[in-house]
Amino acid sequence: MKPQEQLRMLILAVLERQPEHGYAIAQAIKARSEGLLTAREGTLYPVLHALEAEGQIGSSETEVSGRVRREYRLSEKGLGTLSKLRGDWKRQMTAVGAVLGSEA
Amino acid sequence: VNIETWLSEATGSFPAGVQQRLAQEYRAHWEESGGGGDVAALFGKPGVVRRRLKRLYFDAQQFQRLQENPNSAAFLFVPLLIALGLGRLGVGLFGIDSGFLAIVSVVVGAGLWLIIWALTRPWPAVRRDSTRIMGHMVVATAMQFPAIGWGNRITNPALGVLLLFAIATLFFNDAKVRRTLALEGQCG
Repeated sequence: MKPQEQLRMLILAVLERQPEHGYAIAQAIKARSEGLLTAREGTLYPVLHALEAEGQIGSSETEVSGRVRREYRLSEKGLGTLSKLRGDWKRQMTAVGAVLGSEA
Repeated sequence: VNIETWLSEATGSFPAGVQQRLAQEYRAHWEESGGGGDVAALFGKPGVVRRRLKRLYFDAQQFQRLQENPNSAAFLFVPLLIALGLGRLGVGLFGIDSGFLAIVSVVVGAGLWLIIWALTRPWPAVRRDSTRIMGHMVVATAMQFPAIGWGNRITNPALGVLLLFAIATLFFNDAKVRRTLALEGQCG
């Protein structure tokens, strides 16, 4: 899976829990991966816009403490895509794990 | 690099509506992160982000060209297709090629042309005309198949690749038009 496809999957996984704005999505990816996964945050928005155009996610503007923020939420189509991507990812990990073997 | 310089380099070449949406989101993100320091360290190089965004949206110049009487460009291809069709028929009539295949070629071309023009008729002008321009390339390529003959092992795969490329370009271009129109506040 290419880095760009990984980022798509991670964004969909973050939005599966609850709607979030761009900054919170970037922070959630960093926090959940314990800092291992960090994307240049500038490339987050082209991916979010592409996902929105495909109907995988939706967005709306909300005002929080006087600031206008755009919040993204997962659509039904996005949920289906996430499920498929998860399956693909697990199969890849199982295959790589089988080749690498276990250290434990 | 400060936020204004970064935004200008990354998003400054896009149409006003696209620029506004992007600037709003990047500025909000930067403010959430504390609003200080080197913006390039947070977002990466503006040139890299601009290249990513160019895959999604037309820049202002390209979009303006599409809006400036695009219909004339769409019609420009019609005489070329007619000439191509007449040429095919001529080749068939003079016995250089099969007359039947020449007629099939013209029927395929005219049929596809009519389908594309009918399907795109209710679309907004920019989307309709840019799709028609790309559609003519698909029609011109598809017309070559019957004329060349189905069994040609060398030219048919090459023509197939060319046809797939023309169709993929048509869809990629249309998606870009729709995304740009949506942010420009025009129904895509």
